[in-house]
Amino acid sequence: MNKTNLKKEASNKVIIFRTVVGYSIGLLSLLMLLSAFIIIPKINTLFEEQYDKDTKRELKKEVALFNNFIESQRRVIEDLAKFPSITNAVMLSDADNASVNGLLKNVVIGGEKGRLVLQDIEANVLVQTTKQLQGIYTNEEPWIEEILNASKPYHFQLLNQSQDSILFKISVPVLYSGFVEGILTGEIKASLDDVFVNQVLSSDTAITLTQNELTVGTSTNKIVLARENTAMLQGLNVTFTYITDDAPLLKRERSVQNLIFSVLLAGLAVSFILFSLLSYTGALQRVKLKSKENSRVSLYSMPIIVGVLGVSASIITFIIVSNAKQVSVENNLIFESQKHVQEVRENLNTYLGILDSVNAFFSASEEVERQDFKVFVESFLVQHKSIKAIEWIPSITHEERLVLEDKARLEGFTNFSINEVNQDGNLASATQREHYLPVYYLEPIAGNENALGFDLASNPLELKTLIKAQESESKVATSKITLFEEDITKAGIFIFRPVFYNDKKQVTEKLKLQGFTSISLRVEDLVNEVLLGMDSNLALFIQDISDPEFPETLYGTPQVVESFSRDEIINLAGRSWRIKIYSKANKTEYAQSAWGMLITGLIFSGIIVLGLVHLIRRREYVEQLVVQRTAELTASEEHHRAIVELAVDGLITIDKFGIIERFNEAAENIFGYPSKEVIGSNIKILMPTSSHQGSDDYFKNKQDETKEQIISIERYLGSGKYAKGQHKNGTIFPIEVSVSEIKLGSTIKYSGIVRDISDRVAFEKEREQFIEKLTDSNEELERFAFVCSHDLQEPLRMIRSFSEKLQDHIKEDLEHDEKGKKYFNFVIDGAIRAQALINDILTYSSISNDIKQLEDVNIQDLINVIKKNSLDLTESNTAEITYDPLPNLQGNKTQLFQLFQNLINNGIKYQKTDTKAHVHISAKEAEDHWCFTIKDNGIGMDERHFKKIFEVFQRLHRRSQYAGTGVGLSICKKVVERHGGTIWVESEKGMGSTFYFTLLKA
Amino acid sequence: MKKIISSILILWVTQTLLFVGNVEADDKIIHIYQDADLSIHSQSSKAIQLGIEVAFAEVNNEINGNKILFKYLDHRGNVLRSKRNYKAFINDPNALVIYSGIHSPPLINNRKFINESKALTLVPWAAGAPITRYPSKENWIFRLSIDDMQAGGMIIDYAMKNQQCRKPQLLLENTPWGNSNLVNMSKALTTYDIQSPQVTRFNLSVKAKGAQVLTDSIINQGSDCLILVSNAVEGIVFANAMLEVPRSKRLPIISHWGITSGDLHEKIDAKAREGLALNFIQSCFAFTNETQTPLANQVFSQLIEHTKGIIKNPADLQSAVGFIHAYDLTKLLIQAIKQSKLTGNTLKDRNTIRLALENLSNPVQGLIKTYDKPFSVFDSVLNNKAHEALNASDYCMGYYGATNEIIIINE
Repeated sequence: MNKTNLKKEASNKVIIFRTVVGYSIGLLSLLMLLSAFIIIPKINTLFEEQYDKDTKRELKKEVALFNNFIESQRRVIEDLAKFPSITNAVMLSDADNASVNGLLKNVVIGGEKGRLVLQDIEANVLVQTTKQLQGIYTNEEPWIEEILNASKPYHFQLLNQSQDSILFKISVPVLYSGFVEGILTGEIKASLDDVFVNQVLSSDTAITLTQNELTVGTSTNKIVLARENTAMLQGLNVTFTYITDDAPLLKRERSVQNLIFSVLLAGLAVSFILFSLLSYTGALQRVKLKSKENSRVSLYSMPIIVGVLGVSASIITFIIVSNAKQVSVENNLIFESQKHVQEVRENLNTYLGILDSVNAFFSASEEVERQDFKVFVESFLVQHKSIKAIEWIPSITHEERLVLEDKARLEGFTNFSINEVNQDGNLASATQREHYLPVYYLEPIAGNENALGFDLASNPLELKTLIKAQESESKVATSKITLFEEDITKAGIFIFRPVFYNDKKQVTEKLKLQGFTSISLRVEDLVNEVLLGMDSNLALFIQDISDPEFPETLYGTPQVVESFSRDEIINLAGRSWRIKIYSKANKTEYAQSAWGMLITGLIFSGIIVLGLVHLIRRREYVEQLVVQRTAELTASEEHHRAIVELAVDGLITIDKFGIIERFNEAAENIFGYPSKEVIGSNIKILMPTSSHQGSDDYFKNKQDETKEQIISIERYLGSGKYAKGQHKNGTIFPIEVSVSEIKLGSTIKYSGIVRDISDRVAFEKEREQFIEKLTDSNEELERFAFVCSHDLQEPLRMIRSFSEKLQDHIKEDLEHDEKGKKYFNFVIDGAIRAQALINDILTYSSISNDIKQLEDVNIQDLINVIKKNSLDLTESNTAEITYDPLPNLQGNKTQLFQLFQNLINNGIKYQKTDTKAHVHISAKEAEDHWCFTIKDNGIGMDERHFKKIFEVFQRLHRRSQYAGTGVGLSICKKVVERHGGTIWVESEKGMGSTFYFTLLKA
Repeated sequence: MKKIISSILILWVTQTLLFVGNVEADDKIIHIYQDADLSIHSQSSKAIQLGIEVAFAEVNNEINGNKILFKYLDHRGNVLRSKRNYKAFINDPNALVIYSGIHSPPLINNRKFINESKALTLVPWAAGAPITRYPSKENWIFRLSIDDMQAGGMIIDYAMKNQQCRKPQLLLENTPWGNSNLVNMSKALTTYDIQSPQVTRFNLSVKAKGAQVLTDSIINQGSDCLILVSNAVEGIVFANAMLEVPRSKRLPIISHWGITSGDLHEKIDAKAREGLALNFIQSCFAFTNETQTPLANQVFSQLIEHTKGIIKNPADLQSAVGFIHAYDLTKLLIQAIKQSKLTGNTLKDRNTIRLALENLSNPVQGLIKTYDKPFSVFDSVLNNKAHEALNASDYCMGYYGATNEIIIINE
């Protein structure tokens, strides 16, 4: 007892544990799927949103800090502008005010001597504390007018960036009684650490400030995947860009993603192993306990788990492979991008260095001759193919123009003249103006012929750049231009650097411009230099973003396809270029292999699952079949057992040795032995001694297999064999035995049905006696009827014949004696009818006697005879007899003739007065008989008469209407019955009648 | 048909004639400019405008068939803005004369430009001595106002004699006007044996704190009088600074007239002024004087009428001296125009009038006095007051009365 309980308890624990593990697998799988499609994307989104929020918050903070910084600097300048002496100076436009000069020159801003400019309302510079001003202070500058007309409280302008500091200027109005009377500007140099004062600039963040065409800011070199968040600082007219690196975010997202999947996968694997083990042990237990519960669930759990695991593993592999591929591509892109942008940067720095060298050459020389210039720049041009040209652009007045042109012509450029592009777009001699900036020295000349002599002052874009270069006394690049001799689609740039005369005596005096050195570059060549070593999967796109509102494409076309890209911004002589490097392979391509793996994994999982399911279904089907068959067998067994047990007849099964194996309840009753008593005993116990011999012989022979002869078996095998049984009390009684042999493989058994027929034997004896008496009685009755009928016919014949004779005798007397005639008629008619009646009775009574005299009867011939007879009797036009093909029959011809004649005659006789009688005979073959139909169109009858008409002497009409004895149909019925058939009628009054009868075929 | 054509022709001729007439009428407009501080010291400028307008109203704003239109430009005391305004005047073909307002610096700094541009300038209120002393016979600036060269002595005299000052402190704005006064006042002080007067300069837009420091410094130096050369804006700052000083230590302020150019009388109201000895130089005529000439009464009536009753009493007229000087100066101008033959050529006409001013044939009755040949040809050595209509005898000292009116001390 305890052992069983312990086993059950252990089994239950296994089941519970297995269920828990099963649920765990399900849960983990669900989590896996949820993770792949919902949780991880959601986490990523949350990361993104949070990161975005953080970035925006940071941006806001940085903007606020920057604003505070600028505000503090502005206050310094504003406080200075409030000095009365400054007001005095601007009110009087007093440039020689010593106190103001002293005041401003002693101001220290940001730890440095203040770089201050005081201007009056005409923008005249009254005081400037340094000659190295970077800003432009001419009254053409729109900000000056804006401050003077008080439409702007101050002006902020970025000037440049050098290393880790930026230079900017803040201009504030000088007020007198609230009215603007001048402008005080401070050019402030501040280190980036001071500008972004509390900003902890980590390597993965950067800040840039963009104003007009200038961008300054902290280094973005270490930023891998830049995300730019910008804010427009309206008051400052500065675009503040907070750049963060997305790479750590992506790394974090992926590590979280991989961690989740790893944990889930590990959990899933552990659960699966546990589940497998427990399923195995559970299966063993189940076999022992024959427990069928949950078998179906258990059966399918394996493919489900395999499927879930397969799908999950495929998805995880897909995600991990995608991530890995993406990371690989991105890393490659980043590496390549950094490398090539650095190359571009270095190349550009080299060109700027060349420009500096040329500039220094001019600055250091009293006069540079064309040949000197050529020799000097030749080596640069040889080394750097991207340089389209190096130029010297002197600043000359109109008076100097002719001298310069003549000089150039003398130097061999016979057609030299200072040119400009006229309204038609052609080169033409420059119109007269105060100053010219012609390209005077140019190397190489080949390919740049048209550029020689071109007056850059005639081109507004170039002139603007040149003025800017002059004002800022530094190198300034142009925006995108088309170089001479170049395809219009190809972008080029000029970089100008001013050359000044070295005779400046006063600080406030402006440097006198000698001219410009210039270098022109073709962007495509710049790129080609870099492209040589670049991965062919990468593409470059360069844009001049100095004016954020109108970026200009310098090289390439922007890619809009889903592809990886990376931006780098480089600053070149006052301009900002965005270099975008694309990976040509788009994300779809990268994802293809991952998708391939996913699809393959899913298909593979699907095939395994389907295979498993198929195997299980097959096994399940076989098991089901076995169960069904077993159940059927059991039911059949039970059924037979019940039949055997409940059978009225005794059922006894014996083996081939005659040993009783089964003995049912009826057998117990028949033989008086309880089954227990006889089972195992020989069958002989149930038989009287006289019957033993036969039985022994049979069984002896049966046992003697070598002889294989069965003697006396006929006596027992088969059904309905009569034998004698012996009751337990010794009574011998008749039994009916049916024995059958049962072969079960090599075993032979006999099953016998035993019926006690003592009562039946007694009853049969009694019946035989009764039949014998009845036969005697019938014969006597028939004899009496025949005799009676025959004997009655004689007196009747006498009555009739003598009545007729008497009538004839007194014929004369009767001529006037109507009554006498009438009485004679009654007598004769009565006699005739009595004769007919007696004939009919004779016929009726004689039918049974002739039945055994069978002969082949052709019904059709029979009908023809009847037809002839009947139609002869009637007028031919008053009746018609038709028939279908009719069969031959075995029967009493006379009786059958009578049958058909009576029915046909009835059809003709019981006819409406105005209707031609029509009788139709047909026959339909059935299995063992013919069914005849005799249909007439006579007067018909009510349904209530359908049985009555077949009774003897039953009539439906008065004799005066239709003559007859009322025996005809009784004869028909009797004939039919004697021939083993039945007769019936279907009729409707006024519509005719149809008589049916069946006659056995043989 | 002929009638119709005739009618059309008549109509056309009539219209054409009318149009020509209109053009002629347009051509006969004379623009009278004012370049003054219309923002910060607007009261003085406004008073000048009233003086000009009332005087021209007497001739129905029309002289010799020329309609008079006024154009007032604001320089706010800024030298360059004044120059810009002058350029507008010079380039206006209908502009005949330009009046100045307070602030000597624009006139002093731009004097060369004005004279070289032949911009006929009338100065009703600016005291800087150099203004009218352009070293050329062709002097284009005429003044009917206080002249520092003459006023400095008078202020010093008043301080030394009337206020019994012994150690006066010259507190001068750091402008050419201040410079002008430094010269003249220093010179005047020499007559009182003060060879090196104590001088303090201040800048425009001096703030309260700065003024306080300067005032304390002046008191600590032992000065017993403050000779102030300032306009209203800075004058208020210094008056307040003095009021901050304990009453016993306060110094009397004898000021140039610039302080009356604005709203000092409002910022330093009558009650505050009780604690402050503040006197300033004015021309001797005032509508508040007890005796008024019939002309003065008539002019004031015209003023009331002109201002549509906004000004009813003499006290209502702020910076009255501006009105008085401008009125008298305009009367001289009208006289000069009247005795000239205007050609319609602006440059010529300006010069004609300039010459006429230097040679006014008839005496002109003004509020301050009757002007008999008030101007003459300038000579920097022999006739350096040639373009000064007033002289020291026309100057008086004054002070603010209880109702903010200026009361002239006629002693």
